[in-house]
Amino acid sequence: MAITVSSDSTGRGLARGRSLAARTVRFVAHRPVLAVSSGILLLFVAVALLSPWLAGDPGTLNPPRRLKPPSATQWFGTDHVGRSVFDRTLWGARISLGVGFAVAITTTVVGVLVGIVAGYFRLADTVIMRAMDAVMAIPAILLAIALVALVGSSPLVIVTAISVPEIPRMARMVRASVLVLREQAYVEAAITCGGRVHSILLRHILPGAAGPILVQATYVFASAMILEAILSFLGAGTPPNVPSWGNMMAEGRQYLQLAPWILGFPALGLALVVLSVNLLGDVWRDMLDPSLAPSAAGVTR
Amino acid sequence: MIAYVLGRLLAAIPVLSAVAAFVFLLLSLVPGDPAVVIAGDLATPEQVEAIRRSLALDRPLVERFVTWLGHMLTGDFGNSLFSGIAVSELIVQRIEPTLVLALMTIVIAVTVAVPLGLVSAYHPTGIVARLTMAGAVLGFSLPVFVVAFGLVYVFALGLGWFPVQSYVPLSEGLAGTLHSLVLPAVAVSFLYIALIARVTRAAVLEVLREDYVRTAHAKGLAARLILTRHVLRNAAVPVITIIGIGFAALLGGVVVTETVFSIPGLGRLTADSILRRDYPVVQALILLFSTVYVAVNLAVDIAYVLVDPRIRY
Amino acid sequence: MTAPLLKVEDLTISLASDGGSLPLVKSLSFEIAAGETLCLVGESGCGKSLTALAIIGLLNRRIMRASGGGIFFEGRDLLSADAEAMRRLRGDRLAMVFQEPMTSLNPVQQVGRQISEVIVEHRGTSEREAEREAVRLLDLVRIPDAARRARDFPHQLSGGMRQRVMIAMALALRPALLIADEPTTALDVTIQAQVLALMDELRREFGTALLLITHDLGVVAEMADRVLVLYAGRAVEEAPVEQLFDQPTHPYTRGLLDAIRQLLKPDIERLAEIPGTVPVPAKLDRGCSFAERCGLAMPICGEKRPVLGPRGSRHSAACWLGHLPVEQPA
Repeated sequence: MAITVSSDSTGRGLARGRSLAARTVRFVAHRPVLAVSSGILLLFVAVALLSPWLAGDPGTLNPPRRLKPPSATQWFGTDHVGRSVFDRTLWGARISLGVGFAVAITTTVVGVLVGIVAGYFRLADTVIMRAMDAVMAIPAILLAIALVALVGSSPLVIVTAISVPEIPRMARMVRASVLVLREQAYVEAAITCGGRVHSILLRHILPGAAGPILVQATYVFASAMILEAILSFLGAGTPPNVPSWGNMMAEGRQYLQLAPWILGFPALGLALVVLSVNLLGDVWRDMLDPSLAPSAAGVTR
Repeated sequence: MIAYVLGRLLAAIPVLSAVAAFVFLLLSLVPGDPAVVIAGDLATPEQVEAIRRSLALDRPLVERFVTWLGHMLTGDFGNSLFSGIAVSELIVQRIEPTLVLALMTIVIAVTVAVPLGLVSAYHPTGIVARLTMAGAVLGFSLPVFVVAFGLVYVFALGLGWFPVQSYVPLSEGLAGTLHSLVLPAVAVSFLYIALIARVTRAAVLEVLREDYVRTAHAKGLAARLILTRHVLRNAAVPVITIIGIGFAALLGGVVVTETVFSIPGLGRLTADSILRRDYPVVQALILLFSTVYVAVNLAVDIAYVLVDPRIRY
Repeated sequence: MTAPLLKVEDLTISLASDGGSLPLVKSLSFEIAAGETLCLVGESGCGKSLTALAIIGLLNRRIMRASGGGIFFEGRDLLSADAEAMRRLRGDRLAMVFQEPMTSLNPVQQVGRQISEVIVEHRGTSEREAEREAVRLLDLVRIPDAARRARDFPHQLSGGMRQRVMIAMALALRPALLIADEPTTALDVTIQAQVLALMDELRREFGTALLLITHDLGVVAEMADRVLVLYAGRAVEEAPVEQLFDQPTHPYTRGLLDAIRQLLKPDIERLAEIPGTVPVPAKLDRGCSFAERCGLAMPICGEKRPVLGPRGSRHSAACWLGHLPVEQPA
């Protein structure tokens, strides 16, 4: 009896996907989601960087041409005082992505520091984690609007206010990774061999935790943009004259029935960016977590 | 068991104390003279002085904190700087819509998300799974007010099924109240559904790999029975956990959504009070929301015992 | 002769991967008569468990494909039966006990309930009645204080007790065939014999046939009527248990027996072993799968695959040495 065996396919299966770079290339070819979401994100990053050149002055008023629907001359229509929604949406990308990026960096730096200190130095652990629990017990939106409303809405305050509620999650995750990693043989070996604390942390623990940190930072980036929009919407975010997406949507709400495009385009922009960032985060997370092979028994279809 | 509950209650004390200290210290973050800032540009010097006295700003920080904490513990939350009404009374006046909205949201979220997560795990490549997972990412990617306005645009302005705004109090009948809160509750539950459905799916996928699920199939039980009786029960711990953790998202969503729909609840009161710098009200409300959140998660910890007999405290 | 209870005909089970399919069990055929015990013997990975899962219809259909002549149970072909028909058979006429008693019971359900739900599902009896029957079954598998133990959760029972619960669950409806996949491997040695004896006793009482999967030849000697030896997904020898132990004809079977016999002689310094390892499935293209490890291999063994041929009235083996009288090595 002849038996056809696809030995080459299993051979390739074992050989391929060794290096991260090779896996990445394969992912792009096999994952359209990844390709599309990074494409959208890159587009918005370009828009954010180039908005001073791409878009006209977002503040130019043109009251006679107010509340005009999208047309050939005004692609996204005009708002209640005749400003170009297109120009304002492009400028809004700059603010939204800028805040998202700044918050992601702040949260990552502070969260990693706090998490490492808590995970590596047992003495500090309890105090730090209780404080983190307390911050997490306050709903993020409340905490952020309270901070901004009371301290004043400068860019620094906004970034801080959005970062504070995000930091505990990052810190907790880093701490958990550190706790696992410091039990690993290679880290223990480094400790036993009398390695200096900071070099053990830098050489052994941080690289081991880098993947989850990157994924978490991606999610922080996404949720920071949402939180910024909510703050602006509630009137506790960027000053009203700044064309942030949140401000545009806040102004557009009164005209929802009359001119849905005022709220719609910034909402669409925000949704697209956040969606693509979230999808990127998911893809990276899946790449870090090698999916479990299905077992021989199983009735799921 | 009782010892465990007591232990957890005690453990909540430092967390809530830290929240209290944090909330209290918010005031000292206010640049310049808090009384002047809070009073606003149009205040007379007498008004500023009144505010300073009512907040006891002339006393040392620690003394103020101890006095304030004592008042909080005895239920004396002070008076609103804006309306002069006692904060406790304000809370009582405004709590009804928020409670109904929160309950509706939980009911909607759990009844939608858990079955979706279950089906997505059982048919991982099916249409339900794909739509659920796509919907979940979307849920994480839309601010709650955008969802709310989308719903308003379609179901209130477009189809006219629900009111754009206006809350019908319970005293005018439960049905009217529920009807007036459908859109807000759906809007708030969007993110909550995304969270719960994702976790349910992951938990169920894990349980489906377990040997005892194979045993259940070997017994010839019907698939529906296996999923409800064997799989869901074993996946319950992570699902309950995320319901507790996601409660923070629900509370935040309530603040925003009540503003969108002009619902006279605690969320609206919080947003308004923060913008008005009505400091005593803000302090009390943040503390209240945080206490509720901590209490919900305490209840979650206790619920573990009910779903998993292996967990003993 | 009446029709056998179970007849597996030319069964092939393949791992379906994106590149093609990889056969793990290859044109396997065997029969089990009503009330009989057949032992399926072989090294891990030889396809024993896959065969069992295929019979009871629990192969993971996303990655495994069973094909071939058919699996005929009580006259109907299980390979072509639909999912609902298979479900009705499982737990009723066809039952299975798994290897891992620690993980095979639902941790959050009382054990009595886990037994009674089989009865309710297939017989439609009331919960109450089924629960009483569950207690009776627990008593039958010698769980002391059965009525109280029925309300215990699995983590409150020892490994041996859990496996007895599994047996009670499997035999609850007096199935025609019980499949037991290494049922005692995970248990303490002292308890293994007890559990096996109990299973055999109840099986005889209920007239249930047994397909016992094991790699332990001691268990085979104890339990089997007939033995089927599997190597790399193929049947290499099949015989009544006495004949297999007295006159093993396939070199692989002899290797297995030599290994265990020497265990019984304390003065042997070095255990005889079968050199080499089981080949990777994909590499088996032609010739006898065992040729590489076989001390008696001839040129033809690497060229052509031997088919299962008669070695006696109920004895058969797949080996080119077949027709020659094989001498026991001194």
